[in-house]
Order: sequence, then structure tokens, then C-alpha cells
Amino acid sequence: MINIAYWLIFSSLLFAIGAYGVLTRKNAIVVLMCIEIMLNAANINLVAFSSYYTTLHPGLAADASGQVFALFSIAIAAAEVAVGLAILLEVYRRYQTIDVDKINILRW
Amino acid sequence: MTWELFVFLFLAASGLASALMVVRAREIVHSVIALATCFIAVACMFVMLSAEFLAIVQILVYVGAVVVVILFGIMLTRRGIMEGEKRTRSGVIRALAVLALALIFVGATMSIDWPEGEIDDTTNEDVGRTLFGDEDSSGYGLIVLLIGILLLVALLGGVFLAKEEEEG
Repeated sequence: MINIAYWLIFSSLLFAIGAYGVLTRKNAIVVLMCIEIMLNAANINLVAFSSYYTTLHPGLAADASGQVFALFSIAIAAAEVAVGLAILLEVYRRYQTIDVDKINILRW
Repeated sequence: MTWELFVFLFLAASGLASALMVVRAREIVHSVIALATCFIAVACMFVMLSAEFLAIVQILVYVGAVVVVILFGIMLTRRGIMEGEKRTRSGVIRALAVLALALIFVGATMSIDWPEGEIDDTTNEDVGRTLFGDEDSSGYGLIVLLIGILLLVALLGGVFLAKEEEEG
């Protein structure tokens, strides 16, 4: 009997915490972890809307499309972490640091 | 205060607290443990939302694979024992910007009159039917195949990028 707004507010706060981490932390791996937090927040949002489908659309049957979308999102996030960490390993081998402030070779 | 609301508040508090610990922890391994806790809290919320298949996939993929890969990444990019300072110059403006973002989201959510109701009781058959279709609909099978190709390309690229350099 929870109103859907509770889930959406939790998802928004989790997203904001993840965004704060991406903007603040220096270690690139922690930035990747905070991106994963943001993706989880979006997944919660998707599944919440999917689970309240008959409430929000009276007269329609239950629809699991939101859960399926979240499933694809989890798969894509896992692939992104793998590629992101591979890139970070390559950067570490070359510059001996993963400090996001020091990897500024493309800056003006 | 029903049991459902109590469980939701407990899970939400632990999810938000562990996410905050990811951002603020001094040691990076503490961040990883907090991240795993956040993922498990989110998986429990999926169970509350009657998405049990998704909860199992979340634990398998996120806690079981992503956290382990991140730990390996930390191991391979260590710079001495102490990883010293943790964040850049004072992030007051960034914190205020993120706070403004959160307030906009929460305000927009609370300004809508959401209808009350029960959570749908979706089963694994519903998820399978949505994915692969039945006589009435075609399902999302093509997207599953494309996700498979995406994972193949991503993992091949990851292996190639992380390869040691050959001699000559």
C-alpha cells in the first residue's frame, strides 16, 4: 500500500548521491562506482513504474516491460564497467596515475 | 506505520546511507563494500516490487560480477599502500548543484497526484512473455540478441584493451 511517490523520491535521492560522487571524487574507479549507483537509481525508477502499472493505467493488464528494460540496463551497465576498467588499466599503465585531475592531456 | 512501509524505510535508509559511504569513505575498499551493500538493498527493493527475477539478476551481475571486477581494478591500479587525499578542492558549489537537482526531482514528484493502489504481482512468466512474446505480441527478443552482440563486443574490446604489450 505504499504510494509510488516513495519509490520515485528514493530513486531521485540515490541518483543525486551518485551524481555528487561523480562530480567530487578524484579516483576514477570511485567515479565508475558512482555511475553504477546512478544506473541503479534509474533501474529502481523503471521497476517502480512497471510494478504500479495497473494502478497508473486502470483497466489494463499488468505489464512487465519496465522490468525487461531494467534487465537490459543491468546488462549494459555490466558491459560498461568492464570496458571502463579496461580503459583505466591502460591509462594507469601509461601515466602511472588514475587521478582524474592529472589525466588532462586533452585539455586546452 | 505498516510493516511494508517500515521495511521500505529501512531499505531506503540503508541504500542511501551506503551510497553516501561510497562517496565519502576514506579507503577505497570501504567504498566497494558500501557499494555492495547498496546493490543488495536495491535487490531487496526489487523483491518488494514483486520483480524477483530482476532481484536475482541484480545480485548475480552487480554484486557478483561488477563488484569483483572493480576490486580487481583497484588491485591493479594501486599506488603504494596509502591512497592519501580523497577529493578535489572544496565541492560546495557542486554539492549545492546536486542538492538543487535533488530538490527539483523531489518537488516535481510530490507535485503530482499519484493514484493509490497495490503493487502488481508480476511473475517470471510475465517477464518471459514480455521478453519473447506469445501469440498476441512479438516480445523484445531482437533486443536480447542485440544486447548479446553488445556484450560480446564490449568484452572483446575489454580483453584487447587490458592485454599486456607484446615484445616487438
